[in-house]
Parts: sequence; C-alpha cells; structure tokens
Amino acid sequence: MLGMKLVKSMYVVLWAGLFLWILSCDKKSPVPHTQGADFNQRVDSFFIQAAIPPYKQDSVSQIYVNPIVQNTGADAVAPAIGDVIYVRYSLAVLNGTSMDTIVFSSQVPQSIPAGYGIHAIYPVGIDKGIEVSGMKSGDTYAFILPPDMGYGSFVLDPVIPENAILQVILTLDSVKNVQALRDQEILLINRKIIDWELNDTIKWPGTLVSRINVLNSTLAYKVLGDALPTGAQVADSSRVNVSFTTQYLDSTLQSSFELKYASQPLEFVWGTDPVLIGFQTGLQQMHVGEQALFIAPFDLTYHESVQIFPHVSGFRNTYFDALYDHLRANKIIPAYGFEIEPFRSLLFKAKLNSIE
Amino acid sequence: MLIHSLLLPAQDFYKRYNIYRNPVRVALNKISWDFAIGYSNTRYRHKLDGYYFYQDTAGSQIIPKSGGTVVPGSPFTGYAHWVNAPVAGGQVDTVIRSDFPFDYMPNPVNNPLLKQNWVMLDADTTELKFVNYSNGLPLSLGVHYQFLDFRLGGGISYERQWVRAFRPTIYEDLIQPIPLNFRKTYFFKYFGMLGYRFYEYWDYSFVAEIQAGKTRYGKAFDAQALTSGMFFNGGISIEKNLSEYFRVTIRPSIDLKKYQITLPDGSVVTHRHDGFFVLAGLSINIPDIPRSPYKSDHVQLKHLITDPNTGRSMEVRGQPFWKKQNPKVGENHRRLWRYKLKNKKKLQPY
Repeated sequence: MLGMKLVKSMYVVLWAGLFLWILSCDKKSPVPHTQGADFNQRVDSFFIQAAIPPYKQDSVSQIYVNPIVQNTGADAVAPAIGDVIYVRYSLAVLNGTSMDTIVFSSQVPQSIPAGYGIHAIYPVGIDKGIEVSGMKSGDTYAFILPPDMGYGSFVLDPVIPENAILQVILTLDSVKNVQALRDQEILLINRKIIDWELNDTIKWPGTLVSRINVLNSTLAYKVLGDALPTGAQVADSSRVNVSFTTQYLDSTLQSSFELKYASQPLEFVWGTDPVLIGFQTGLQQMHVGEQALFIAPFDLTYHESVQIFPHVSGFRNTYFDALYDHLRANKIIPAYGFEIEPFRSLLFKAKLNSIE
Repeated sequence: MLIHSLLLPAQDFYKRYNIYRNPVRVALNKISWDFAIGYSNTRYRHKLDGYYFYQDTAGSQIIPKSGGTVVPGSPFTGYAHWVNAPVAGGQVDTVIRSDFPFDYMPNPVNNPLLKQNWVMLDADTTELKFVNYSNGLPLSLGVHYQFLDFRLGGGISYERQWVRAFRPTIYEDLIQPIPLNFRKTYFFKYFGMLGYRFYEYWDYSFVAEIQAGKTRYGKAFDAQALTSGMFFNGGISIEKNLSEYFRVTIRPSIDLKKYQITLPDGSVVTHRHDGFFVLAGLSINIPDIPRSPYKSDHVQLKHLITDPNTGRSMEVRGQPFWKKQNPKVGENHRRLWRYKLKNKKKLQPY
C-alpha cells in the first residue's frame, strides 16, 4: 500500500517537474515580422488614416516612393553609380497609423555628401530609393522603407521600435562627378598650402612641400624640422611605430580631431597590416625620428566612406550613439565610417618613432 | 472515562492514569525529520555594468573599466572565467582592420570582410548580460518542531547542478554562448526555517515555509574570489498525512541567492542564481509509543497493555508507523495485488 502510494507520488512529481522544466525553459519570442503583407498592410493603413493617395511601390525592393517636388528644368541630373550626391533629409517612423518624425529637415541646413550606388549609404533603402524613384537633382521625394531597408532589428526605445517602418523625405540638391570633386579637392589642398604657409621655410623650416604621385593622385608631403633626417626607412615585415594626429582641411592647422595616436603610437607590421594608402605613402618617405606633415586627398584616404542617416556630424548624441554601437557591434559598416566623413581629404602630422 | 479523557490534555491523561511512556521517545516525537529529493532549475544572470566584454575564438574576457578606457587596436588584458574562478586572460590584439587609419574598403555597408572573428562591446551602452538555465538534483535533510500551526526548524541541503553555457541577452548572432570551465558543480546549504500551516483539507496540510541560510559553493568556484550573502527560499509544502507519524511532501519553492566574484584587480561582478525547486520527500516523527511486544496482540488501534518486563501499564501501537494509527473498519487492509496482472481484464482485478 505504502509502496504503491510512494510510486504514484514520485510519478506525479516527475511529471510535474518535467512540466515545470518545460515552462521554465527560455522560449524565444517570435520576432515581429513586418515584411511583406504586414508591411504593406501597415503602410496602407497609414495612407488611409492620413487621407493621402497611396505612394507607388517598387515591386522588388518593396520601397514606396512619392515625388513631392520634381525638377523639370534642364539642370536636372540623375546620379550615375559612383557619383557624389548632396542631400537634405528628414526621418520619421511609422507609429500605428501616423509618422513620428525623429529628425527634422530643418536641422539639416546644409546638404550632406554621399557616394551613390556603391553601398556607401546607411540605411541602404535611401540609396535604393533614389535608384527606384529615378530622382534627379532638385527633386524631393518621400520614401517609405521596409524594415530590412531601414534600421532592421535596431531598437531605440521609445523612438525606434524593432523592425521600424521608416519614412525618409529626401531632397537631392546636386550631383557631382567624383573626378570633378577630386580636382576641386586638389585645388583646395593647394590653397591650404598657401594659406598655412607650408612653403614658407622660415615658419616651417625644412624641405619645401614635395608632391608624390600615387595612383594618379597627389600627396603633398613636407618634412618638419631643421635638417633632413637620415634614419632607417620602412621595409617589408618591419614593425612600425608611429605617432600622429589627423585633421580635415576646413579647420585650422592646429586643430587636429584625431588625437588618439598622438599619445598612444600606432604599431603595425608593414606589408601585413594594410594601412591607408595616403598614410602609407607618407610614411614611406619618412626616416626614423623624422616628423613630417602630409596631405592626402580623399581618393588616397577613405573615398566615399559611409554616410549614415542620421549623419555623424549632424546628430551625434546619446540617442544615436546607440545606433552607431549597433552598427559597430553588428559589423554593418567599417569602423572608420564613424570617424571619417565622406569625401574628406586628411592632413597627417606624424612622427616615425621606430622601425624594428 | 472516555469523555473525561477527551477533555484532559494528553500529558494529564497519561499522568492521571499512570500510563508509562518512554520520555526519550516522547521528546523525539516532537521533532519531525524531513527528507526530500527533487529537481531544480537555476537561472544564472548578472549585469556587466562597468565592464567591456571581449570574445574571440579562444574564449571570452571581461575588462573592468576601472582600469581605464580600452582602446580597440591596443593590446589589453582582461579576466577569463569570471563566473567562478577569475584568472588573467591572455593578451588580446583587437586591431580593427576596418578602423582608422587602416585601409579603405570599397562597398563598405554590409561588406562581408567586416565580419571579423572577434567582438568587443561596452556592456554599459549595450546593456549586455548573460543568462543560463541549469538543471540540478537537490537533496534536502531537515528537522522541524511543530507548535500549533507554526513550525521552526533547520537543515542542510545538497544540490548537484549541471551548468550550461551562458547565452547573451543581445546580439545572439554575434556573441557565442560562453562555455564554462566546469560542467557540473555542487552546492551545500545550511538553513534555518520558519513555517506556518495555513490550510488543511482532509489528510492534506499546506504549509508556507521560509528558509534562510548560507551557501557553500563547490570546488569549481574560487573560494578566495567568492563572497556570498544569505540565501532565501520561499515555498509551499503540500503534505499528505498518511499517519500522525508519517507524511509524504511535495514542496515547490523559489530560491533567491547571489554571489560576488572579486577579480584580481579588486573589481567585483555580482551574479544572481535564483532557482525554482520542486522537492518530493518524506516527513517522519518517531512514534512516542512502541508497537505491541505481544506477537499474539492483533489489536488494530492504540491500546493499553501491561509491560511484561516491568509490569507497568503502557500504551502501544497496533499499526506500523506509516499507517493510520486508529483505523476505522476496513481501513489499513492492504490490497492483494499479486493477481492484478493476471486478472487485469476483470472488473475487479484484485
């Protein structure tokens, strides 16, 4: 009698335990999926609620596009792949049946540059939206981006929910050929050399600025110091230790924005760790112990880099730092994309500490 | 006499009628001995506020921010095995090949070349945590004294636990689960207990119990680095009273406990490992009176006899301790189930 009762009790306990264990197991909640029909349904509800005619939808990318202003003039130019586009924008997130604006166009008084059609814009839907809409310079379009073309799984509570549907209102101010921009940048570098008196051997003793041709571009290079150094130069597989600062050309010569490697030298293996071509070319000219200054146009630095919307120099605050952390952690864009703006020439002031 | 005896307190009854009971048995009878075994599911979790987290193919490390800001690209050393026995991790090279001033990358957004085989996160900004759910087999021994509906007691328990890898709460596609350097461990707990019997239904009693005590951690945990506070356990003991001396119990409960691991640099990580327990067991009181010494005594109820050795009047039991001591007609007759299998198709197979 007792034995049976015990067996029954243990049986019940085992089943109860199994049941509770299953309950206690961490279940993954299904990820809300707003693609496809759900995405279209939500956007349609928005159109109905806002009492606006539905936008046209691109059947492949699922992006809704709607012209707000169309430039019909002769100056209207459609960007070609690789061109530099200058845009202004505002961003909004679909919240139920209304759009909550998160970045206002009024906060973006100046156009920002981006490389068009070369995977250099985040969110990718903006790049794609320009393509599918056939935007030309002077046009303003509204795009409604599905989550995978927007911020995807990124959450910025309470501003951006998971799998947010994003509305971008984009004005394409102008389109520029990258070669023309490069030529313009070379002129700027020359002007800066004059403005900053880099050719002046009294203020900046040492050699005159020399020009080194690299990949059909030009690197301006100047030794800082009284005499030409004669130390060792870099060679393959040597371990290079270099301190340097970096800055854009639109600031003063003393206002470096990148100071990290001034106090903590960069160490890398020459030929193994591929450093920036403009930086590498400058270092190649240097001798151990030498200090030098070199200016590399954007095609010897980070070219189009990455234009993130909201853009780094415009809205970098605690809110959007979370977005950058997300992009960095998920390795969606290169780390330099957070540091260097698109199409920026860089000035380096470097000291070659040692070569081993 | 019957009515009178009902009105008298038990002690007075035995005294008045000079019925002998062994004082040791009487004293021991006041104490209930509890034994239980069951299942536990423990949820480990912690915050890594104030730390960087680094993981590569060789393992993972945490780096206290108190040691200064870690600059990706510079070598650094953190601590491995930070869950149980922290040691200095190997020096890490976190050169980010896509960081300034490394080379430009065409088609930069979502470029597969970005997927390097290591990850480093700031736990403060990402709110990174790790959790796991680990199964265990707890064993508990306890004693308690029942006074009216209250009970006071204490005990020890041993839990064998199989610890799973820690899973990240975010970036699950980026951060691999962290396997620990041990797969199973054990915990000893010493506790005091307070309880209150708040409900009774036929043979069932429902007792709310709170245990509080200390935990001793298994050898997998570095005793020098570990500090633990009190643990608390709250549960409901559901008891089936098979006799006045014997109960079968089921006790679901929640265990609340935490420990702190001090890293070699003095910084501290707090780990919670709360658990859900279900214990099934037995609770026994040593009977205050013995079985009848006479083999020919077939009286089923408690009754008086004359002790054949001392000639004293004494009360004895007619039932083993796990059966109802004063059964009614038909109670306590065991069913003969030796033919149950043979007669299973019959309406009454016994």
